[in-house]
Amino acid sequence: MLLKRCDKIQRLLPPNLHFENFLSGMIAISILSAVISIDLFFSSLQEKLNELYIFSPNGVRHFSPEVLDHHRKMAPFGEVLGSSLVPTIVLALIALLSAILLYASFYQGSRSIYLMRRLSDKNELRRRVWTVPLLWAGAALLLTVALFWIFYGSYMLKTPSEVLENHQLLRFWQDLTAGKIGG
Amino acid sequence: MLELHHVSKSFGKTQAVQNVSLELPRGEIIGLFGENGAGKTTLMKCILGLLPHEGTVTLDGEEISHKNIAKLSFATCEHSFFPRLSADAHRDFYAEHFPAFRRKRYDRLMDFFELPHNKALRHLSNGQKNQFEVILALSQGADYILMDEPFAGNDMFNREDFYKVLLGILEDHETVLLSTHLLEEVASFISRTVLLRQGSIIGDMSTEAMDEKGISLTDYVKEIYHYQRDRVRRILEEQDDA
Repeated sequence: MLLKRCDKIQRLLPPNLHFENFLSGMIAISILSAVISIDLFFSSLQEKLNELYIFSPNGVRHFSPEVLDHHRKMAPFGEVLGSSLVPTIVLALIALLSAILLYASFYQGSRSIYLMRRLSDKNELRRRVWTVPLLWAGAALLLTVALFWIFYGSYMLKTPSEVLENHQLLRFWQDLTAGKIGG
Repeated sequence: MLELHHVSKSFGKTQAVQNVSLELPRGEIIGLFGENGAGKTTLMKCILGLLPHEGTVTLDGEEISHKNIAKLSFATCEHSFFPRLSADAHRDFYAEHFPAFRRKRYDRLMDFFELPHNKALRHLSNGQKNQFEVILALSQGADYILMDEPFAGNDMFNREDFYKVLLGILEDHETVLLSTHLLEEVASFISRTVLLRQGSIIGDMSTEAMDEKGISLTDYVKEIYHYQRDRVRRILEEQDDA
């Protein structure tokens, strides 16, 4: 079953490509970007949460005077998110650019591009160059969306209700369209 | 019939092919000769649609397109196979993409040249790679087989073997356009000679016509090129004088 799947994927890639290396590279880069995104967000979340508290000499955590007396609220979700999703968006761009690598493989060690351009199926070359990059970019964008909702859920769960402002998603959208997020 | 009508191709200011018109009927073995840079490779690539060009190339009255491109095959000294794949993997690829692929011819040629079936082509010698390139071109099932200096790097015995196989294996409807520098070697089996110089056709004669005139292929080429037999002697004399 796994072999059949690998064979199907290979048929979507240039025949001359080192399939295992390319697949490993894809997986490694994808995992790395996800890990960086997760690390960026949860570091930011923890930092913003820590700003709400002070620690007594016996190590107990209390809300800070700013929260208690001045009704300071938790930083909005958009501010916490910051540029956490940039790695996965960059991953989508890398995925699209990998099409250049795939096309270049037809010039490595020979000119197999001459064979590809002589095929009766004029879509064969396009299929082997673009299918996997587009699927990979799509997966990267889906990962971005999934992480967004995971981050949002984490933010809502970890933020105490006393310091949580309402309509976080609406405020996020407003900040996003005003260009205040991702800088 | 493969017909070229006023085919031209330039690279910047360099006119690589100039206004070439040619008819290539079925069943001929045509030698395409010319000095380095004459435009032989460029002409072949224009025929195959690998390079954009002016003029038209038609096969049986229709322009070359994805609908009829399978009727043309190509063997090039640059090699158009996939180096990481084995011979058998290529066989499967060709069988899938070229409906007229000749499996029996492929098997016979592989046996004749004693090439390994399951070794990645990048591990073969240059001579073996050339042989395999030619095997693919001959087995594709094409009507027109274009070969661009397919013997570069092969020893004399390999080349002789190939000529014998080519003559024995080709069918009446198959045409070969062969670009090579090895005039004397191919003279005995080509049926027509086309000479290219600086992108233009300067000579086109059948072997039959040469025989009637009593001239060899080498003499014909020298005549067309205005080869000066005493140029080496003159240069050496000028050097002595200096």
